[in-house]
Amino acid sequence: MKRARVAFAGAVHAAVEVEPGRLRLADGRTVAADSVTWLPPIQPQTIVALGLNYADHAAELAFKAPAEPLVFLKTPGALVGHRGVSRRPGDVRQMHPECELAVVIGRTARNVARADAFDCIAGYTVANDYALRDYLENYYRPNLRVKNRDGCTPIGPFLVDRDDVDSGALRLRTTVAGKVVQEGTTADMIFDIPFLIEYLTGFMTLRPGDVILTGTPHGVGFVRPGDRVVTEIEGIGRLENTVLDDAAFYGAAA
Amino acid sequence: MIDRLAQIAPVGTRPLARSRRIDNRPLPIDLGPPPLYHDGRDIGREVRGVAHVLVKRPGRPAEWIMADVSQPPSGAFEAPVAGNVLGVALNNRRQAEHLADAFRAPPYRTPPRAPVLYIKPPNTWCAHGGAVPVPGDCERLTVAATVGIVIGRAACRVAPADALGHVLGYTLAIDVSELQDGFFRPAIRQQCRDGFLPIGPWVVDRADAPAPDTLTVELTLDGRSHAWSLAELIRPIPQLIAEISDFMTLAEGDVLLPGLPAARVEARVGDRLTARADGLGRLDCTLVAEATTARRAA
Repeated sequence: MKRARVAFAGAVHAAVEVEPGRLRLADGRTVAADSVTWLPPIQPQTIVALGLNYADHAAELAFKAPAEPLVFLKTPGALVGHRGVSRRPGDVRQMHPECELAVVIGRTARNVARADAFDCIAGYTVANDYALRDYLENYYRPNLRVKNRDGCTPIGPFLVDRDDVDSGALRLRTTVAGKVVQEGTTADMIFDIPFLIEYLTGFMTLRPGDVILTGTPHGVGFVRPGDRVVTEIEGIGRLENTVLDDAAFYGAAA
Repeated sequence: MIDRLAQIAPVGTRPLARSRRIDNRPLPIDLGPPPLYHDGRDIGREVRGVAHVLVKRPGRPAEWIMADVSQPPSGAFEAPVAGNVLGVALNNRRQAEHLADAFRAPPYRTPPRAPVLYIKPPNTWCAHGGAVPVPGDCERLTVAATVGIVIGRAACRVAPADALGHVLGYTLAIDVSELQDGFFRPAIRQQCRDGFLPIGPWVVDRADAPAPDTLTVELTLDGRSHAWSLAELIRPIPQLIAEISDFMTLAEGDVLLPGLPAARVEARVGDRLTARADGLGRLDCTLVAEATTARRAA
């Protein structure tokens, strides 16, 4: 099942996909996917993200692959739904998209063994964990100003049920204005999903709706205002976002 | 005694109305013994005026009330947080002077430009009177008392002069961490273990709280007292709110920990910790050994 949260005709609804381009709302209405506003499909309180979790990406950024997961946290205000917009501030040149498999937790999880890890997963979605590298500093890097900006983490469109997909070898791809800038497969994660769940729940409790962004593969391509950015994961979904400059974002260009 | 709480009329401002915690996922999860009940204790003796309290009464979900806490009400106080907790590291002038050489050495090479932020997620919140479970692999723990700036009205791209208008009030917090050996990478495993942020007992309304800019915060453990002043902050609270809200909205119920003391204080299992500040009351917690066996079966 593919589950979404959408706004339609003045209210927020849970929805499921009945066929490509058609959604059924929880109240029974069937509507065209084009007619809704897409919201993040989940409402986490804790968002865990991984840095340098694909060997090719770590090499590209001139880092040795880490011995322990490089974990950072984000807050829910960073999320924005499918077909939303993200602002590139006027002083930023190096804003790049990062296509990531998002693992959504389905039940309270603490000290979960590797072998049991999939039991506490509700499903998967796609995230684009934009980095605004102009703001990088070497203190708690990657710092929140780079990674936790309002509306700069598109996520969605759907939460796909765990049992509907084998997450071990899914192709990921990012296009910017139609050009492929990132390609990879989840098979290349340094720390795979069961490892991450065992590691994280070994020191912190995760709860239903919390999410783990599992890192991004090779490919650094910068985005420019006006670009349509598509992050896509095989079997999970195709997440669209548009980058706006300050004038377009705040309406001065209208 | 418990019923008295419900009869106290709201004064001046409204309590934090929305909390997803209350709606569907009560906390704390597995944080050891339940918080203490406080009948007649003097934790609020110095508080003048009204505080916002997230209180748990038997058989009911936690709810926000406003109360005169100078005569301490009964009830189990939950962590008074309805959003995110954001901390600011390296915002202490004395600490920065001490680290000046380290800031110039690799990998830092330059002192911080923007506020250095960290997140204390919901699993870390521990209510007043609660027990902080210390895992067996935590060999050295640091503890630091600070205040929590609780947002009452969403702050997005606010100017420093307007920042305090977005503040509901102030609470106390004890930031617990495993000893960090630097600031290069986020220290999630060190800072974000379950229960590693005792916070509360309540939020003293801004109108009734002392001005925070020169407030002294005191941590007591094992008979020793460690005090520091918010006057040591490099960036004062209004400037922090302005700079942070420039890129991330601080929402109603979010809490900002504006800084930590310069001196490192270590603690161990068995220590009873108390944070105090004039006009805000007192926050207590105890460090206990985590019971690990029960959870392995999950």
